[in-house]
Amino acid sequence: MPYTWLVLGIGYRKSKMDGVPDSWKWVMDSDRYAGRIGVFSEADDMIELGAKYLGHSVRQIPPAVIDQVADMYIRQKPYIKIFHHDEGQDLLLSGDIDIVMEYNGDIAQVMAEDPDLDFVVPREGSLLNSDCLCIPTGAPRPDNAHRFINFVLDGRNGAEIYETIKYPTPNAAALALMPADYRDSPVIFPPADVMARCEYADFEGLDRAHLFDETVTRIFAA
Amino acid sequence: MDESWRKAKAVFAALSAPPVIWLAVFFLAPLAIIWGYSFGNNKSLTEIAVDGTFANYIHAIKPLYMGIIFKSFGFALITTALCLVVGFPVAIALTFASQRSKAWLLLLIMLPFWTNLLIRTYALMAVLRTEGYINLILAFFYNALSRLTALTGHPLAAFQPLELLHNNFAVVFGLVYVQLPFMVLPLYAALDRLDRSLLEASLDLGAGHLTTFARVVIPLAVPGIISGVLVTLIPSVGAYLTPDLLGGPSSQMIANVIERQFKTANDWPFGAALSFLLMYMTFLALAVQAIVSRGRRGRREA
Repeated sequence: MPYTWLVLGIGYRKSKMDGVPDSWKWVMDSDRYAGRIGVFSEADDMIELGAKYLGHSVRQIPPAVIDQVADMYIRQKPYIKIFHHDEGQDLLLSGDIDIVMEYNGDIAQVMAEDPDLDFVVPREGSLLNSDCLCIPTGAPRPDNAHRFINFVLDGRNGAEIYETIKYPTPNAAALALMPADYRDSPVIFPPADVMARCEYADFEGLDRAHLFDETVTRIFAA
Repeated sequence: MDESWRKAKAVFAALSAPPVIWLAVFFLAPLAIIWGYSFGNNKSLTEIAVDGTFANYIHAIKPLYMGIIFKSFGFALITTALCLVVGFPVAIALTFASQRSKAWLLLLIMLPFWTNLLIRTYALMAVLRTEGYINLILAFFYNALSRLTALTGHPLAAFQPLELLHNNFAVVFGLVYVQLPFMVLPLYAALDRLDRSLLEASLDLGAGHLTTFARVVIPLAVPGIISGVLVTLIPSVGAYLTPDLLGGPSSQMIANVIERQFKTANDWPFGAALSFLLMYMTFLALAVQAIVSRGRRGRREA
């Protein structure tokens, strides 16, 4: 059962930027914001988005492009402040960094606390993900799981959840109850032309996962 | 006689059974499972076949991973050296403190253990970060100074916060902070046993304070130094939380690589092999230490 969907983009502090940083270049391939950049440390996201910036799809990335992405990050390392573990919004809010690769909802959460923050999906496009609730086969109490899913799907309960997490809801009943600033937010729901350039990735097997991991190990060790 | 011995044996068995069972079930058994995994390979996302392959170890000794292990030892050695330099005076102060204040000082050294490591690390982040307590205090004094110089018509340039967090400095700082009590306590134990009359004899016979320290105190404290170094060095090599939270783009240590194998990379056999490679190295270090200390004892007896 789809629970929410998310898109990676760039969260930034408006007063510290020269214009809107609407390209992955500003985090991956430029020294303009040296020492104030945060990059997501997740292997898949790093490499797939690197490939996207270099004009490749996030799926079926050829080995040569993976190496090219690794070299790009290694070149960029002196300008990167931190490879974060999905706490980019907190680092942005606390002023440790000014520009960061993060998810739309996470940045939407801190934008409510600090009006100087904003979010953009880069023009090269990005990576989409969906969070789902699943019941494993052989679960001992599927009836309870169904009851929980029903609770989450209830419009009023859903509205409370999405008001808190500030991620897009796939639930029309909950959306109808949401305030206009949620429904019209270009951060939570990026414009259609931007979304058209985003893709879902595939799970391409364990060997692929190990290759991606070894590549980021190499980047971090360089 | 026989009767009482047998009774004592039963008491001994009864007393030692819980810790032995605990150790076997919650430490040795899981360790054995991981050891088994290190000779296995991934059959699917959730299945591992233990087929006695050495492929994981062969992969683990690649220069990439050995380099990260050596770097981890580098971090650990710097940490241990700093702990020794900072911890030795603390241990000496403890030894020569009055009985009353000794209890309080020991309590102060133990105090950090009452707070979880994770919480303490987050507290360090609040202290070190760009808008953290150190920078706030520095900025306060700097701005006060700037207002003073502004009176003479020369205001200072705007305050530049120190970059204290998310770099290798922060990792070493955090490791020293965490490991220091483990260095101080064995040092204190060794120094406290030291026979004071030897110090008096040394000073009486014309040696200065420095000579006495270098040629009497330090040699007698060697067992404490060795155990302090080991209990500081070994956990530092395997540090995971500290580089993860305080480190910067180049602070990756071997435990961070191992963690990823069990989580995102989903390569348990390789993670197990890396863990055990580290453990074999630790055992080797302990064996060398045992041989060295036996040699020392042998020389003393000879």
